[in-house]
Amino acid sequence: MRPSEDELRAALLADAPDRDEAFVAAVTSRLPQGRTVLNWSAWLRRAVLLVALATLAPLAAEAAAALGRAVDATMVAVCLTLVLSSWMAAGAVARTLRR
Amino acid sequence: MDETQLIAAARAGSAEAFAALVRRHQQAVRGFLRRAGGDVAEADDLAQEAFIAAWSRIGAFHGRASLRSWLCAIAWRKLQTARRGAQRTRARERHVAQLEPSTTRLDPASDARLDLEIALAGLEPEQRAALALCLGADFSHAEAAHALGLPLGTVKSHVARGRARLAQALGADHAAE
Repeated sequence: MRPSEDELRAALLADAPDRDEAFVAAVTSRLPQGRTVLNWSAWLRRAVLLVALATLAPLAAEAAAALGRAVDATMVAVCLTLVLSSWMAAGAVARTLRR
Repeated sequence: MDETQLIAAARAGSAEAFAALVRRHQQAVRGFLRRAGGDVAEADDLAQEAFIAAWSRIGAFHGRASLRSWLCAIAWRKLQTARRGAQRTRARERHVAQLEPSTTRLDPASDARLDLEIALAGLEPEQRAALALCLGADFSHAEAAHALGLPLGTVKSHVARGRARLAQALGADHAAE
């Protein structure tokens, strides 16, 4: 005999924890103290991105002008790769700092 | 305080308000991870990680989805990342040792639970997750779709097929008794 919908639901809920203050305490004890730390990591990433863009964009434009239009796409690709790499590296640093 | 006020207070940096939110939603998140992942200890660890991540990102929660759905979305990403890491580890260790089943499975006291766990283990990860949310935690299909990052139709199909396979597996077990 197949279980009914209610039986399935009951089985799926069977061992879900109800109130668990120990879990709540475990989470809250691990929260980074102060939101400023967290905001700093976001601002750090933004700053790195802006610096990367400000540095790389003129370089890319210069290089493209010097070498001709044929390399525009390559330069843009290189530029984007560098920007994305910087973004990811900054994210990794921020996550490490947050831990 | 209602949930909106708690969220606003948590966004302003109140750890007490966030603790109240954890208290409200820990059952849904842990239950979801237990059913979707099948390992109690790992589920609870990932639930903690998910709540800590939620604390750091709560400024990005704009209320377009429910909070529990947003929390389960974070938990689901944590579970997927853990699975990818586990797969990489298993691949490295495959030539050294045979894989052993987890020693912290769901409470073996109940045969019915074991049957359920075995039946769930036979489902695709996304089907398990969709079932855990829609049947186990009473999520709407739309909420589950948001939490799992899947199209609504895919979630509906996962739930329908998963429910049928689960009923079939459990029904077969019951019939054999």
